[in-house]
Amino acid sequence: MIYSERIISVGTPVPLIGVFTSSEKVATKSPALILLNSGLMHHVGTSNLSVKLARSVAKIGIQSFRFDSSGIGDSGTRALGVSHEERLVSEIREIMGKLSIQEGITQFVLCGLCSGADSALSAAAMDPRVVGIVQFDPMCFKTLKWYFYHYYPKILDIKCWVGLIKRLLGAQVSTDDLPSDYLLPELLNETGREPDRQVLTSAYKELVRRGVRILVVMTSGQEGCYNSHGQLREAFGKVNFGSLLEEHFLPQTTHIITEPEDQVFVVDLVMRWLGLSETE
Amino acid sequence: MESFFFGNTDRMLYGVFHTASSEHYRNRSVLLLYPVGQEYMRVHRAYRRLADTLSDIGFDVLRFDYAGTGDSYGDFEQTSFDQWVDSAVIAYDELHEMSPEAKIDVVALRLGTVVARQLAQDRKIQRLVLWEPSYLDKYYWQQLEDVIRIKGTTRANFSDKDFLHMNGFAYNTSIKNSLQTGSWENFPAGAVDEMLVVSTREAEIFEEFKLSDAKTGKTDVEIVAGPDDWIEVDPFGGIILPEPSMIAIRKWLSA
Repeated sequence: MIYSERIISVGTPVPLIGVFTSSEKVATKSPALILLNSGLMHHVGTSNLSVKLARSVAKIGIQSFRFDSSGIGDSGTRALGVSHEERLVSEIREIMGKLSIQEGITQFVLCGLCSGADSALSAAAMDPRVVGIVQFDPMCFKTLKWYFYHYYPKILDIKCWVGLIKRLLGAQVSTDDLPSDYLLPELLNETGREPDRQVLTSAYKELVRRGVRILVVMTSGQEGCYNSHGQLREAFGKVNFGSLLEEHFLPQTTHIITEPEDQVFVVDLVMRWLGLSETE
Repeated sequence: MESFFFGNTDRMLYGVFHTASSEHYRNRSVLLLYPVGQEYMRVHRAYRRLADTLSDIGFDVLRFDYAGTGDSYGDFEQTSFDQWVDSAVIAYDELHEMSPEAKIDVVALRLGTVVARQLAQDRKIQRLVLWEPSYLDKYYWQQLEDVIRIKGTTRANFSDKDFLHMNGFAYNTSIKNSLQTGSWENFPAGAVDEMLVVSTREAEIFEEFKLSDAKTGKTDVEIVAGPDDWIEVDPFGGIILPEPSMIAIRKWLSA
């Protein structure tokens, strides 16, 4: 077996629970990968992706920790006291502290999908121990190009014109009649994802200032705000990412990455990206 | 609630033990058997909640991941139904070791009920809860194939020579073969003292399982409201919290 795994519990009186995956040959000076929850999914990740990632990166000597934040999965519920986002960031930093003391790890890469991607960015901006982030479907903003790609195919679609006329005439339109992207922003709001351009821009700027590497993978799950390769770089035009940002767009892939070949693709991608990180 | 690895050192299983409330301790343990695939993902929170509430009313509870699932050893693609049954036997023994004096009850959901049937042949189950047991064995595989047939092949849901890919999990054909040969007809008499069947569907249950009070000491059936879209997966990876079923199970076990 290339990897070994054990439970690490972090903090008292309500510990955060996670699985530490160690490699037979730990690559010297390589950062450890911390895998974050996405929404209410527990620490194994959607379609077990976090487990696959953890065991795969062990092959290149990278250790990892997949854990449940307070109240999620197998971790108990801690009293809030601060906002949900603040608590998540605080917990991620607490995890890094524990792994530093117990395992002697000094650098980290944070990896998350959806809300996990957002937490990765927030925590990375606040903590210099983070040297890289992997974001699956992070928050993004529409650009002019987005509107072009979104509306151009609809110009010749009679159904879209009928829908538009109905709305202009004030006719009642059931949500069943609406294309799915009309519903997506509502769903995102329900999950508490309200992007603040200034905050996100500042966070990315801070990462760039420190030379933190960023890997972004966008799927069809963000089609309501993202529909072309390179859009994140464009949406955050004020951030001079340079070569620190690597951006991928998988338009045929579901948000929770259920397609087998895409699961293989993202695992290989992260391994390659982390491998690069190790040699740099 | 304590997470731990157990079993053979190179084939470790992940489990979570919920210690019984000392105030209501009743010297009984409950082993929870998960469903598999995306159903396992969606029901994880409900299982934690069920385990919490059962421990609150005095049961020691163990929930665990079968081989090839969750945090346990192995890959789902290469796992087998027999490995799931072996995992259940190891988990049963682990729970027995943790609470040696306690009688063991089992709660099993969906495909977990088929694992429970096999477990009952090797280990004494005092009371067995079969949660949503209909449409299983060969029907389970058929149900997966029906989704592909009715909704059409997608990049996520399709069959090839060796696997049936469904919602992010690749079921190998050995699982299919195991399910084809399974049957409730041979369920041994006396394997279980009492049984509860919890389902959202009234039809088929006794017809499908051919269970009777002659084989188990007593069989209760609870038809409850609640979600039954086990194979459906929303694109955001939502969860299922079948509260009415959980209440029915808690009530029956605590009686």
